[in-house]
Amino acid sequence: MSRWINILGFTTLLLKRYWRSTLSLIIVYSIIVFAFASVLMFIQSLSYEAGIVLRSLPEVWVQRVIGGRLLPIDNDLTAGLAKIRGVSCVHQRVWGYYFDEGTGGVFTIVGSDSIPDGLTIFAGKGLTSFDTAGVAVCGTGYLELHGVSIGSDIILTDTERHLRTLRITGVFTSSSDLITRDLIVVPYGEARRLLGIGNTSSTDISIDVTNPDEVETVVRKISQRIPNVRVVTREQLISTYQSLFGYRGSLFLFGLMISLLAFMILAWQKASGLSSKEQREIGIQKAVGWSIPDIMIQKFCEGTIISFNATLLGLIAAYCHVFFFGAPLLKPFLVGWSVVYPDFHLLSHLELSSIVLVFFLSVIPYLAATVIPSWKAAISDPSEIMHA
Amino acid sequence: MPEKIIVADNIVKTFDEGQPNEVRAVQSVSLCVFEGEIVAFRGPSGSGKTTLLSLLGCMCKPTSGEIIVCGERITKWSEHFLTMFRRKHIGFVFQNFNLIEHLTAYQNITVPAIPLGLSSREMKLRVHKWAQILRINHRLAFPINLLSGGEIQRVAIARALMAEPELIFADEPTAHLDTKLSNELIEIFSNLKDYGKTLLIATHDPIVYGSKIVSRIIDFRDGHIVESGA
Repeated sequence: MSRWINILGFTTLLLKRYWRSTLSLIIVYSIIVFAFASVLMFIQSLSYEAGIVLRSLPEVWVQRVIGGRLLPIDNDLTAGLAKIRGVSCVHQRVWGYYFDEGTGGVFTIVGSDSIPDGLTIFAGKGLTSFDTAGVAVCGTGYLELHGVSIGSDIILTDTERHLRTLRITGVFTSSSDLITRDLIVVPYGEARRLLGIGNTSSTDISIDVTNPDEVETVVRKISQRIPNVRVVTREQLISTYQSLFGYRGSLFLFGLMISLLAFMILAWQKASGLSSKEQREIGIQKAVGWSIPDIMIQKFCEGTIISFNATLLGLIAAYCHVFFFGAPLLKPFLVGWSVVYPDFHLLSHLELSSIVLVFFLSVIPYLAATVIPSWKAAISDPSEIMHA
Repeated sequence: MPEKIIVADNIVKTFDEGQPNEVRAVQSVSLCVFEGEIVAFRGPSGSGKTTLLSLLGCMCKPTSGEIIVCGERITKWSEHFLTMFRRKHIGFVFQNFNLIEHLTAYQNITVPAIPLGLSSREMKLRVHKWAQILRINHRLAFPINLLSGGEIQRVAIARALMAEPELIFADEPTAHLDTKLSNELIEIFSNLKDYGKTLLIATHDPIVYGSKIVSRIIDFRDGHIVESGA
């Protein structure tokens, strides 16, 4: 044990000798790990949040599509849909996007006579079926951007350019910022006015299916019976999101892998082309009684100190970047412009497997690049140092 | 009667055997060295002195012949066992000192003791013991690039003594020293003899082989022993 401690102490001495180059190496190494880990954490957290969001969606919903455009769907279809075998419940949904000229933010307006499933009120009170107009329950994004709180009046413009004054009665809280951050829930009538949807139509119609195994059958029946509609299932949306995040993330990770590879090649070249000074030092160590395993232990310690510290530093920086600062360097590329504003905070969700993956991809290649060339130098004849 | 500490029997060392550039650096050398002796290998550059020191010092294996060091037949030993043996029994003082740059004198001296697993206290005791004998204890904290040639040479000697070996091998130890420092080195070697060390010195410096401390001079030329005598 004391042999290991002695060798570790000696390794630290050697690293401290050229502390500037050691520090530079650790910094460059950390930046690469930081970028790689940031993407990994961001995608993972986004997928996790998307999972939470998607769980609150209905199993099936029906939209009206004419010429490829989405249009409000007639409420008359509700009765027909409810009669389809396997359908347990049908809801008309009124929702849409609202561009807030004052702040440049895009908010989601949802018409409801209660608090939607899965959401809870953080402060104040929710909506009731007695509320028909003039009230709203908001996500924290709207409140922060406008500097308002519960009890304040907010003014929204409807599609006829009339101003609508709404009193904030409650604020949402949720396990995910992604769900509620940009949300404004108002009574149905108010939502119709703000979004320009008449009383005889809705944005879409959601459907609950009695047996989840029969979703595909129900979808087929709807498509066959009702023309000009698009039927979307929760599973389709989950798969779309996964593909989207996977695609964007993969593009990024691919680029980063190339950077990582380039770094590893450089590290390998540096290590494999051990400088004459390093080779000489290995020769000296051998000549004064260091065995090949002793030198391997020293090089292993050296590689571990650099790669472990750089990886740890990169991981901590990535964690802070993604979860404390909201990934400002990645969000524009990985999320897309439409949901960038108002901002949202990602949940601190990190899987052990990701940490292990980052360590595996970062530490192992570097250790190999350090230890293998040193081993080649260490197996040389120690008498060579006598002639040096 | 002192014991034989090194016995070499008809040893040969050939580099690049069978190749066009084959070199027979040591040819059919037989000798023995007794405990407490200071033996000088005298010969011009390229005569094979350094190769002979490497062979006797377990740094490399002979192409043929037998070597016994401290009673052990080391010729057939693996590289690993030779290293283990060398670290315990043999200390080297190299021609170019071969110290590690940017480390202090203290840190350089401890290098052979690191794989021995000595405690830091034991290391400190040993370093200070030899530093005091070699009169460099006031320079231990200095990086070696700030030391004089004579001090660097003494650091190299202290490093060779760190593992308390019985045998000290010195290859052209005065090559980079002036006359005054060379004489100081002779005095140091004389002290080491008093500590029971056996010294083998490869040299072509008359200050070394002409000094009274040398027990025996072995003349070496073209890989052969030409003459051996007191």
